[in-house]
Amino acid sequence: MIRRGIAKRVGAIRFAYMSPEEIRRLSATKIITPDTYDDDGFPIEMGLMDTHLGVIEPGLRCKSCGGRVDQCSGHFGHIELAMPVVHVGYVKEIKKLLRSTCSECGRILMTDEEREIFISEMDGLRKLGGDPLDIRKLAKEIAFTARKSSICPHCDGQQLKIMLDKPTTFREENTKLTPKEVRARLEKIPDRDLIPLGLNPEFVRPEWFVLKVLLVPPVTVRPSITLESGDRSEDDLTHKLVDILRINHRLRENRDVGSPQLIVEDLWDLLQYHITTYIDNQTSGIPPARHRSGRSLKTLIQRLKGKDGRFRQNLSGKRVNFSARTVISPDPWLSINQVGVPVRAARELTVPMKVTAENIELIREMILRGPEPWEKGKYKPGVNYIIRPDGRRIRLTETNAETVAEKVEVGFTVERGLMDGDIVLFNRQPSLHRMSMMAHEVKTVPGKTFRLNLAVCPPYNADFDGDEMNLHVLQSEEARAEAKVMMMVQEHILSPRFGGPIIGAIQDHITGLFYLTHKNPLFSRRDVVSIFSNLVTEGSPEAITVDGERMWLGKDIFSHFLPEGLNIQLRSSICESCDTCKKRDCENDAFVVIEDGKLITGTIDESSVGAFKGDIVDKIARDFGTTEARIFIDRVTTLALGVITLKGFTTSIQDEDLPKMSVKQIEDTLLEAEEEVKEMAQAYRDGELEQMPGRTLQETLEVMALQKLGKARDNAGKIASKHLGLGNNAVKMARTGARASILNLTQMAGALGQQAIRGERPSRGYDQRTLPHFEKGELGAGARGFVKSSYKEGLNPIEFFFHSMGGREGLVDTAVRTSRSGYMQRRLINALEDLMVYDDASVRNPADTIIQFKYGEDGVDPMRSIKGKAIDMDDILMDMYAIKRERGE
Amino acid sequence: MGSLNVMKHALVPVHHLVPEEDEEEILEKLDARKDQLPKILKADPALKQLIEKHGDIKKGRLIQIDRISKTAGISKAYRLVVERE
Repeated sequence: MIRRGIAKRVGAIRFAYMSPEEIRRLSATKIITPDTYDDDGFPIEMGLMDTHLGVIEPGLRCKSCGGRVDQCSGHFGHIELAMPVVHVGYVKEIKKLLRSTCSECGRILMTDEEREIFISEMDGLRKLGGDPLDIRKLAKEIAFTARKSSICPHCDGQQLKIMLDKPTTFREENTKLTPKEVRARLEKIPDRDLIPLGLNPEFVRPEWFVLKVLLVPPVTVRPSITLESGDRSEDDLTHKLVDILRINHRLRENRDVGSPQLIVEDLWDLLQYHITTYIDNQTSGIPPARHRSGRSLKTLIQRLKGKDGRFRQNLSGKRVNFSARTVISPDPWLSINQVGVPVRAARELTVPMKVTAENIELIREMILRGPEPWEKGKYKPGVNYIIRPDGRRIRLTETNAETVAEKVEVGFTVERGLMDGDIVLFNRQPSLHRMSMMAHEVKTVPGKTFRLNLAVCPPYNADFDGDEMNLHVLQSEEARAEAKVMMMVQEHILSPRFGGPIIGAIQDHITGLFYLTHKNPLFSRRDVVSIFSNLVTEGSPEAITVDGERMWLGKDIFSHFLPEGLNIQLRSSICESCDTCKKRDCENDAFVVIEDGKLITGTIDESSVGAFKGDIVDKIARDFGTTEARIFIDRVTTLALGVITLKGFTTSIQDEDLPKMSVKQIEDTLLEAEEEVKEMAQAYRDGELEQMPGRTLQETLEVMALQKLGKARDNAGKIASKHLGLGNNAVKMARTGARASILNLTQMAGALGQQAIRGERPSRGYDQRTLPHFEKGELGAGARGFVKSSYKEGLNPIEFFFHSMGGREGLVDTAVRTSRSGYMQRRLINALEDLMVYDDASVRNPADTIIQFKYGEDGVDPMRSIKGKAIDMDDILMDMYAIKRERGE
Repeated sequence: MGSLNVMKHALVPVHHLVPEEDEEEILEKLDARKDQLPKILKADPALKQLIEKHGDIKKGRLIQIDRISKTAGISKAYRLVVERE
């Protein structure tokens, strides 16, 4: 049994209701006057701001404990209510109790034998772990059975139907029950009858649910603020309590002088209203209490509930120190493990350093350099604060540097600015997965933005159109060690989401590597030097001699960065999926073979090194470790940028130019399809269309039209791509997976094709037509959102309109999706956050109850799986053959 | 209306009653006590079919469920028979 190691365990928490006596006992003072301060601005005795309740102004002392503002956390007071009032939070409980007990004798509506059976059942449930939810459910069932008898088995009293007029009024048949009567009934229920109803008489009596005494929170809970004008502004809760006190006073006076019943009842209802809104100002059925400005008051429940409530705002989440936020920008010369931190941020953010006998001299030197040292125009970490062992902080300035340096002793703590190599956490919202917050090594840089390597954009889902990111500086040695081992970027190259790499080459990297390796081009010495000029590497790639000159092959240059002993075979992204694959003899150079770290054949592109897809990155991370993978990604991306800088790369609208003949051909195909759809529509009208099984005639037409037009666009695309070969830069990007897709190109060069609304051809708008430009009932291609033009040609107004319809749908969809999936994720996280996978691969909750017998049913960690599978047999076999080859077998 | 046998439905996995003598071994293998297992209601339609086959099944017995799993081929799960939720 390994699953222990809990330092301290909470035995039990009991939430119970407070009795009136307990409230009085707790109270520091009784409150009677609704006034708060006298003319001199001092709190009035027995008023809402009585200094017995604590103090909020400096200088004053609490009359209960004698503490000052920062010493006394406040004391509760109480209000004696003139008449009892129902507590909104317990109306349901009261209803349940009234209905299941006798109105005459107060006994539960069942025989003693039945009661004992239910009590033993309750006991059994409590012993079996007793989830409060289960107990509540059982109590509800018991109450339901009790409610069914209309005559009391104890006193034969007739039971009338009790109704609840929301939110707080009870009614028996047609007579209103006052809270006083309700309380009297609840008082009559004997202790033992409470047990089957889910209440524990040791801790609670039901009559407490009708308030006679109101607890008043300390002033520290509802501090008043003094505005610049000198006026006092009270907290919402204080306002509400003033209301309660006023009405309570009037009610008492009216009751005592014997005012007409009607007036007393009106005041009683008003008191009920004020107390209800004091507790919950969003009770349905009553108007919320408002401020003079019209803003509704934030009372007790509103303080706790929801996104801005105490729990979600202040307890589950907090604002932090030692953090920074700024715009991000790219830096290809950084490692993926690094983050560029601007000097200004590095000076402000600090790391605490304990002064020891070993480092005291070093620290003295650092302090002597002052808070903002520079060395030959370069950043040097400074010291901002010196903390003495007694906790006193001394701010370091240019002027006191020398004196402070002398004072430093072992045991002091020094807060120094960031230094290259410090470990920090880097985060971009929304933090949707664990890769949204990774540990990076600091590299101080000039400027005002955070810099990051381009290969880490995919896990953060970052781009540089103004994105901002957050940085947190770790403050303890343990935190740094933990972050370094578990959160470093290189530990997240493989994603647990799909068991492949999420960090890899993107965009220009892929194009660059394509240029380097496709069809194995030759590079002169000059070129190679230029490519390598920004690279850190040992040795040089193998050269060959051509016409007496040393030349380098692209594939050899790439091989130079592969780890020795790497064996892998895969199909490139540019693979055309021929019927029979010629493997190594592929004409398109699309079959990648790497033997012992040498690229033999194939083009390196997205499926080799790309983020999400790169099999080589995947294999290196798996077989050679994350450090090797990081080095590979760092070097290969820099290499690719060297190549693409040397070669130059551009794309323009001319890349979508087609010869006149093809344009004509595309036009013909589209016209033909249009014509066919027209014929289909005619056949539909004539009733000659053959109905498809399971579809109406109209659906049949729609499906056929959609199919036809879809095919037409594909054909247009095919005609277009016939003239757009790998020599075309746009095609190069699409085929290698660097950016865009063939579909994008088809839509630019060929035709946009059918626009869809909810997966169907647009059909609504005007009476029986989409736009007034068409005939009523027209079913042809153009009338139902088919766009013949390409992006390059431009759309006509009607096409443009259909295109906008489709575009709007996409926009709405994403807006709806993000909000909905966000909430869904929140619920999932709340449900799953405390589950854990134990070393026997079972998934259990903190109560050690089994949730899943084996994690994922197979016990495989998806991050260490190979595309979701536990092992990859082909891969193992290939490594075996490689070993055999080496041995010469 | 004839009674529906849910066990014949393609989406309902196979349920077995675990013989009482095997229970201890299974619990040891799972490193769990009975009350740590997921529960199955005695009123569960699948259990009703088992009761028809084996006669009454008392609460506290174990039910084994064999599921076809995308990841593991067949995965076994166990349920504790309880009378009410």
